[in-house]
Amino acid sequence: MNIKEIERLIEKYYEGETSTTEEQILRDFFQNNEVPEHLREHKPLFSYFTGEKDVEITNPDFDRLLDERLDEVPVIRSVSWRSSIYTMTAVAAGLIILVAVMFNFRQDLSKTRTASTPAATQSDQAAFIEARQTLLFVSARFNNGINEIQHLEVFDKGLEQMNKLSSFYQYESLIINPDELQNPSSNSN
Amino acid sequence: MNKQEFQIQVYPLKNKLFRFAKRILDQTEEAEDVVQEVFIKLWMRRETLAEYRSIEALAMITTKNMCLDRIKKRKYPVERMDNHRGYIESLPMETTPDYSDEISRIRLAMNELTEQQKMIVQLRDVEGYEFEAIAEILDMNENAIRVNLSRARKKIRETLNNTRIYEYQRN
Repeated sequence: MNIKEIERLIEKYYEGETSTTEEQILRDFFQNNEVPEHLREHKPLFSYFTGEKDVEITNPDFDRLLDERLDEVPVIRSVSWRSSIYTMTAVAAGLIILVAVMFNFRQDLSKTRTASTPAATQSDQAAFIEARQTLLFVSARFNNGINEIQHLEVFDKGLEQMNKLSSFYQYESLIINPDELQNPSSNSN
Repeated sequence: MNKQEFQIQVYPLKNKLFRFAKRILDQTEEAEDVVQEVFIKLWMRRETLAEYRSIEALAMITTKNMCLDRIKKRKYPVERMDNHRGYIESLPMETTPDYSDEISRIRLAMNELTEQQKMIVQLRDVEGYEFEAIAEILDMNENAIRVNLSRARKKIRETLNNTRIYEYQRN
């Protein structure tokens, strides 16, 4: 590498146009060679950068301290943002289905207040069971590690409440139509 | 990723991260603290580390952000006597003015640079990163990096020449 080349590279260097290879050439030149007078002003800069590369952590306890702190970190499986979104979507879908089914169920009940037959209750329960299966399907598709029993519990509660509701409406119908008590029709139980 | 794998993959980065942090903060102990914090942060995220193209880039970016946050916190708003809001920097510069040595002069000259210029010079002139890598770490485009690098290098040269003249005059 002749002096003219070095001079050219130095020009490029201050314009920010040298490659990493060329910069290494400059650093090597100033490190290893007798530097001509007119180029001597550049030597401290390149020597400085060469030296800075060797700077290290001098604290002898660093690794040990870090080890200890890593051990202190609790083993929490961090739930990634994506799986949280899937979970929330599944639960939201489940709730919507639940609300829709219950809403429908209440509408049916109010239409046929005095005719709450075991058969009617059965078909609603069937609808409910189907909704539950749909939710399981949805949640199985979306979820990886979420406890599905949580969703089942929501539905079991719903089922419970529905059963309570149906008996409530039967009694309510008796109160509204007291004649039923005296002349029980074959419809009520 | 278990602790051993983590140590094999991530520990080798520690000195590079330290140099980077020290360049930004100009404080040795604080830079060491930052490197510890960065490792712990990476350890907490070890399950998702495989998703990253480059753990080194992630570590450098995390270091940068942590250092810049600390610098922000150094400046305390202060009511001055003339009722103008002023700011004081609470930490003394570790690099003390010392014009005697060429190397010290360069260290001082580097402290005169803007934070961005310091980072660019560190990543390019000390660590030898390509512009693409620097762009990823600093979130800048390559042209802007080149321009700032040129300015920084010229500024250092200028500062060196000025303090050199000063030194000659004193003698």
